[in-house]
Parts: sequence; C-alpha cells; structure tokens
Amino acid sequence: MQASRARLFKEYKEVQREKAADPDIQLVCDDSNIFKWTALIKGPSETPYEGGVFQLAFAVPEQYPLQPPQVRFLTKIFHPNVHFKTGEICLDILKNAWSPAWTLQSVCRAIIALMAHPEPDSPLNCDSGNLLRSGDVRGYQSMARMYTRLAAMPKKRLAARIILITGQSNPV
Amino acid sequence: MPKRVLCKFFAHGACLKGEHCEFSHDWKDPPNNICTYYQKGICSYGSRCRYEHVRASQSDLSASSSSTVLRQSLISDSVPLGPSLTTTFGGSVVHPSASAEFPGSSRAFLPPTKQAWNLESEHQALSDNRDFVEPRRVNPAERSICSFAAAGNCPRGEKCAHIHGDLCATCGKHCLHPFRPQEREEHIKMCEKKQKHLEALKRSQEIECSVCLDRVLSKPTAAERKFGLLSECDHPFCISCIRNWRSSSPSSGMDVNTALRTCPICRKLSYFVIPSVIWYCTPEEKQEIVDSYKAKLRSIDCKHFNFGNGNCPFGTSCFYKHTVKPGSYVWKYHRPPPRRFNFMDMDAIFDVFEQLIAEDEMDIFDAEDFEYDDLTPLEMAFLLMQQDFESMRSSWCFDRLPPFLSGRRWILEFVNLHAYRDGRLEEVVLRHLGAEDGHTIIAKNIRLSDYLSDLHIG
Repeated sequence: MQASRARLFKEYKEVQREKAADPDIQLVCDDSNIFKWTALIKGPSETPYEGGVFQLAFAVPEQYPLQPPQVRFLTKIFHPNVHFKTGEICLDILKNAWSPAWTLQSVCRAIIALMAHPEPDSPLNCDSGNLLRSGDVRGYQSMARMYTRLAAMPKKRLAARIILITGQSNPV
Repeated sequence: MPKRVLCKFFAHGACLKGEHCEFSHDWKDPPNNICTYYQKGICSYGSRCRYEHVRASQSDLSASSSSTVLRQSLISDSVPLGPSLTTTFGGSVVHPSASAEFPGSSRAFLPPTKQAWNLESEHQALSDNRDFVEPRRVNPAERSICSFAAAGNCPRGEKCAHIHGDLCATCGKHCLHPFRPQEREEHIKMCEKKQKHLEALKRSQEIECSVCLDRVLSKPTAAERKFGLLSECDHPFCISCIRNWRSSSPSSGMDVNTALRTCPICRKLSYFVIPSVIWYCTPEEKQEIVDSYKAKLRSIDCKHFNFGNGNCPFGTSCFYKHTVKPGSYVWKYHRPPPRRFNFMDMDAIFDVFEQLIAEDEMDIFDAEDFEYDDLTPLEMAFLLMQQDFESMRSSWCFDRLPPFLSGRRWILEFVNLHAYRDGRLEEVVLRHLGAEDGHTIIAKNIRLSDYLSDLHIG
C-alpha cells in the first residue's frame, strides 16, 4: 500500500515535469484518490483514429506495481482489441506480460501503439476483428473513422457528423 | 619528577587539570611512550600499538646509557613477549651498573611500569641532548609511527620523537611505516580497495530502481539500500523491489519463467538475484560481486538439506553448504530422504488408522515399536492403501499384493516415494528398493488424490 502510493506519487511528479515531452498523452490524477487516474490520448496519425481524443480510465490496484493497472476506454472506439461496450482492452502487458518497470505513461504509449497496430487474431470486438481478418481493411477503417468522429471529436462537428451518418454530401 | 614527562592528555589537547596537572605541559618535554601493557607481558595491540614496545630491562639499560649492552639485549631478546620477563629481570641481562644505581629494583620486582618511566625521565634529566637519540637506537621496525602524523598533522613537527610515516598516495596521510614493508603493502592494498569502494558508492548514488522509481541508496532503512543484481542482465533494482516482484504470486496467467523471473525491463531470464551495496560498471566487477556472494553462501549450511536429514529442492546446484553429518539419512542411505508433505490433515489419517487397528486389520503392526513420527503422511497413506489394495489393483503393475505387509520397518526401508509437486497433488513413483537391482519401479504416476479419495481422507 505504502509502496504503491510512493510509486504513484513519483509518477505524478514525473508526469507534471514532462508534460510537454509527450503532447499525445495527458495523464491526470483524481483529486482525492491517487489510485484513480484518467488519461486523454490522441489517436495516432495515419490511422482511422487520427484527430480523435480518447479518454482512458485507470484503476490502480494496491499491489501496484507488482500488479498491472486496470485500464479501459471511456470513449467509444471501434477497435478489434477493445470491447465495444465496456471499453476493456486486450493487451498482453496489462495481463500476463506485465512488468513492474511499466509506468502509467508507458502504458498509455502502449495503448496508442495498439491503436495503430490492431491485433485481429485475439479480438474483443469480433465485428472489427472479422473485418480485418477477412481483409476488408477499408471497411474497418471507415467504421473506425466513423466512430472516432462520433465519439472522440469535439461537439462542434455535430453537423458534420449528422451528414456523415445520413450519408449526404461530403462533410467538410 | 613527572613534571618532566609530557602529559599525554595535553598532547591530545584535552588535559582537564590545566596548571595543576602533575605532568608537564611543555612540548619540549618528552612524552612517556612506553607501552605499560607490553612491559607487564601482554599488549593486545601487538605491532599496531601506538606506544613503544620496550622491555622493562631495556629501559633499565637505557638508563645506564650503555648502548652496546642495549644492542646485545635486543639481539638476545628475540622473543618479544613477556613470560621471559621475570628471568631477564632476574639478573642475567641487566647490566651491573643498572643494578648498582637501583639496588633494590632489579630483584625486588617493582612494578615495571612505574620504574620504566621514572628511570627514563631521570635519565633524560641527566642528559637532555640524548632523549631523542636514545629511542632511535631501538630497531626502527619495532617502533610505531606517530599517530598524529598518520591522522594528518603532528603538532611537534620535526621534533617529534616518533617516526613520521611516509605519505600514502591513496589516502593522503602519513601512515606508511618506513621500516615495515609488509605493513606498507597491506595498507596500500586496503587503501586502494577502500578508495575503489568509495568511488563505486559515489557512482551508485544516482542509480534509480525501475520498480519503485526511487534512488536505491536513498531508501529509508539500511536493509533497503541495496541493489539486486540479476545474473543475466545489467538493469538496476532495489533488492526488496526485485525480490518482491519475483516472489509475487502469479496472477491472471503470468508464467513464472516468462514473466516473474525475467528482468522487468529487458525480459531476460535470470535464475537468481545477487544483493550488493554498490553498483558495478564493468563485467569483472559484477563477477567479483557474484563470486563473493556465492562464496558467502557456500559457508552457510543449507536449511533445507539439514545436514543430510532434509530434502533440498535445489539438490546439487544449491548455493548453500550441504554437510552430511554422520548418522543422518543421506549418510546412511546415500540418497535424499523422501519429502514431507503438510497438505493433509494428520488427524484425519490417524483417525482412519485407529479405526483400522480397532477393526483388527492391522495386526501386522507391532503397536509398541510403531513411531508415528517416523512416517510422513504420504508413507502413511501408502500403508493404509495396502489395506484397501483390491480396489485399486488396476493402477499397479503387479497383480498380486507384493509382500509389503510383513512389518512396518520393512515397508519404510523398501518403499521409496517420490512426489513431484506442481500446484496441488502430485504423481507418485513407488520403488521397490529391496530388490537386487536396487531401484525397480513398481508403480508410477499414481495419483495420490485418487487413493486418498478412495480412503475418504484426501
């Protein structure tokens, strides 16, 4: 308990210090509970998630860093390795390949890498996985892009979104 | 008279008596530097003593200022310690003039300490120009170096009655004895080692553990301020962090060999962790740390092996010492004893046991020489199993009940049980050791749990 608290505090300071170093990741600690964190990550470029901002929720166990944090997407995302409803992430380093040398920051980086390189052979979102496995990359990309626009982009694009969904005229 | 002897407290700058001190507070006066313990017979500091090791007889002689006799006595007294003191004092070596000057002293065993400095100071009063010359007559290798100079600064400077040591290049102190080459070498060696250690410690200060993200050497308790070196890679961790991680219970399918025992950073598999107070920078230094750690462990008796009475899970590759005591199990049988199991409830076994005895089915056991303590639960389970043999015949290679049941001692000596634990219950190999060829396997891969559930005790 003490050890995990001390370690999280160290990470907090590190995050504060290197805010500018990684503009794609914004890690914020809950004001009252150091075991609850949220992160905002930018979708990697040249992927269907580009331009979206995704929110992650971290629940850190007391045995941290001996046990991995539980991470899930709060923002809806269409990705083979993310559960569409719960936001659960299928990533080995969050499960059996966890190592105490990982930090919350590096976990965020790993998740960004996962967004760029989906693993359709161990899918949590079967629809998305099947699209990729059947070779329909374009179908997957357009679905992912649509959900990114729907859920991960600022509200001012609402009009554009409606146009996109209804399929009328090319948005923006 | 003592006024002529320099007060040693004053010399250290801390005489509380001030003007009332009975010893001299004048730097010009010589100090009394004769070791009284040596004169009494034994000085536990030996050659490291900061006082001069002068024999009682020698100080007599120095009083007589007869240098030739002094030399003779030095040569004749090749044995430095004092059981022979009484004999030298008793006459033969003592110069006639000394005994003439102090008629009572040579035979009457005055306390040699008092005598020594009395004589010296008297003598020094007589001839001032000789006091610094006289001690130098003693073989220079036997004289100790000035401790003030060794500590950095001697207030007496050039006039100091002691030898001032040569400068040690490593520690920058005048602590090398000019006439004791062996001591010099030792000091230089030790000094260099110390210096190296200090430098390594300095370098190690900045190194952070990747698990707790703290600097390893700024942890609150001394026990935590240690590195845990992994044998196969060079990533630094606290000893407590890496041990905690390696011993943490594998959760959600973490594999011991691919997750826990690997380096958290590079995932190289290491089978052991070496504690060290310093971090290394060359492979040789690491090897040295590993070797000294292993050497240390080799001197400690293995608690699993228990002098031949226990079963060490590491076998011959154990780092600890495996000493076989005469009379132990290994000494008698040249193989490790069967492992003991604690997962069964002994009481339950005894209950069944007693039931069977009550039913008079176990007449084979001589109840009186039956020692419960000698049996492991496993052995006991097998004993019980014999009673219910028919029901599990299929598992055995033998169709017939082997002649096990003729007596308890027989069974214990002829049955060797090996169990391999992987998680809960285990496979068992039952060997017939009574056979001529030694290790005939009667049955193997018996699931103990099946037997126990048949017996309703598992």
